Amino acid sequence: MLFFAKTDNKEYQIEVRENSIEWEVSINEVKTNNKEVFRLSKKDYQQFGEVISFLFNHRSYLIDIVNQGDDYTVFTKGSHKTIQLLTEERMLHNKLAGIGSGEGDTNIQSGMPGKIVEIRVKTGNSVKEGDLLLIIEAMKMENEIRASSSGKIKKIHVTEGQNVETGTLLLSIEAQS
Amino acid sequence: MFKKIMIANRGEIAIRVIRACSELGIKTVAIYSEADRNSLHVMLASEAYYIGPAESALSYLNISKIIETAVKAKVEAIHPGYGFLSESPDFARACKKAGIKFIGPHVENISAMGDKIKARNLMQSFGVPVTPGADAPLKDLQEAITIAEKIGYPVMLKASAGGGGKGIRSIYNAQQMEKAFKTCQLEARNFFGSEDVFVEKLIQNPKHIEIQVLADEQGNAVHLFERECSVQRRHQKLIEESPSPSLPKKVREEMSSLAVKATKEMGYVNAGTFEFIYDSQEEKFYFLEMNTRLQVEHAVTELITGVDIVKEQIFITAGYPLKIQQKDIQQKGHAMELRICAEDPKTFLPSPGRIRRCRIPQGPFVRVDGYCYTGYKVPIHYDPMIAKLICWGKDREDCINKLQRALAEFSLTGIKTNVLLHKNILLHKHFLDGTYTNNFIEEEICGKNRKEFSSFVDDRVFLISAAIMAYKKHKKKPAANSSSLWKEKARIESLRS
Repeated sequence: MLFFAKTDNKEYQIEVRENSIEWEVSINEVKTNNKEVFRLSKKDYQQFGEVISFLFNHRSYLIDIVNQGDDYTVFTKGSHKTIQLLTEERMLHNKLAGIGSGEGDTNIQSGMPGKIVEIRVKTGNSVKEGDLLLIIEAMKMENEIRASSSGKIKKIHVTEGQNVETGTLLLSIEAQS
Repeated sequence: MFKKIMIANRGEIAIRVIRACSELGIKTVAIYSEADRNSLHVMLASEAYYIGPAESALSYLNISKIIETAVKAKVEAIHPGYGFLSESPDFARACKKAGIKFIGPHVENISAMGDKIKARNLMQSFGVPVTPGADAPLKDLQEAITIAEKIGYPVMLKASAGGGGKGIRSIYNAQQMEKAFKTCQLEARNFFGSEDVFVEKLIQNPKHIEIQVLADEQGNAVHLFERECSVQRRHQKLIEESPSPSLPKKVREEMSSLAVKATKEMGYVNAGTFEFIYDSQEEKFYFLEMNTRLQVEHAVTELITGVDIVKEQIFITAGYPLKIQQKDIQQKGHAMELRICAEDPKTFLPSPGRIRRCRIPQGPFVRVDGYCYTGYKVPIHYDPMIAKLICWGKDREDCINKLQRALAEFSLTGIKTNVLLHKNILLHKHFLDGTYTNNFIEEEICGKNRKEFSSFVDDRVFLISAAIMAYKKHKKKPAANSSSLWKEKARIESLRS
């Protein structure tokens, strides 16, 4: 099965195959075309309930993976990494649906669950990259959400006092010509 | 001695107090909000009472509800922990009125130190040095700019009723002052209920050093040496240690004897902390504020002195004189605390949510004060700190080695934590050589000198694990939708009949 993977601005094509005793995973970094193939004994990659015990190059990793849609967050040894994995089918679907939407629009999403305490802009306002857009309070801290690009506020999707989740669409910025 | 104590707090500090009481044979009463029904302090206390909705203002800050509950539970004393009502004169007064002892200083002590401007002026009168700045609240932006220009930029803009690092801003010029003044006032009003702000000179390359004191009703006072807490971000401490790696003996003695002198002169009672800004180049220190409560980082001092600060607080409140004398208190070995927070280690964004797996470090000279467990859902309403990892070593190097070992054992999944941030800090040269300042995190970890974090994990481990997981997920799917399942089932059924 072929996946298109994205993490930390790196892209990979990953192919996974299995037989009764082995996993075969080939990782191809798109930019460098550097390809590595791993044949892993199923004894070295075991899953008990939610816990995965993985022996990789003789190092032992206890792994936990949280899957939300196409995102897989892998936790191990106090580190974590979120990897987006798309199947060929999903990749094609996204291309046809034209994800990235209205050309040049930037959608700002909430990076955390919390409460919108203040919205500093109005629809139609012009903003510069780095301008303060709104403030979200979570875990006693006020977190400032700033514009990631310059443009005009096209739409504000939230209201003051509203509770938001990670990934909630906050506002859309339209690029100005 | 008291028979029953209420802890008007939550999280690790509620548990810390429960532990002290339980060792003293004192029964404990926990209070909890709607978001905390499954929190660990509720499970560990002798009794637990629901006090209101998740929002702090309606639960952990609700004085009348807490006092009403305390009366109902028939407690003799209340420990406020840190944060919430720990430095509220109104709360201390309400306890007194209800005939319940407040485990902390007198109302007058709290009020005197709670107003940062008055505290500055009072300390100055005891001969404690303070930074140049305003000795009254600022009327408006114009006055802020005038005074800032007089003492010279950069300056700090601070909430007069502030504390715990909230409502403070560093200002480098008049434009920044214009931008920050309103926000700072707003924050001051929101967090502390008073709009008063003031300015003082910002010390360049500052270190944060504080002195722990204990004082009894009989007028005895001792200090328990210093803690250095310069590893901080936006005035929130991340790492604390004792002894400070950069404080000369002479300065340590001067600082601590001034702290004891001020404690006695102002008639301060119970545990307290004098916070100083220390200029390590000039070897000069300036009073910052006094915290009239137990501190998050008290455990560091407990490990190097062997004094149980929470038990001392209880004894003092019960009216006992201090049993320890200054000459008996030694700074032995080295202790350090890492604050483990539910937040992204790189962006510092909060990461509340369900803990899927939790394995806490164990082994020699490791202490963990925390409240997380497998399956616990960290609420969004409160502080992101979920545990404190504290180690003791015979010297600083030994202590850091132990912390590194313990961090490697820490396994918490499902939510993001700053464990990786700590691992990287513990390898940084300016941390290791002790020259770090309050600007360390902003400059070396997030700012201009930042380097990519080492993740301590082979990147391919992440990719392979995620890909196999995705493979398993997508392999299952088509089978579930396919009509062949029906055929299969029918075939099995026909075989049975």
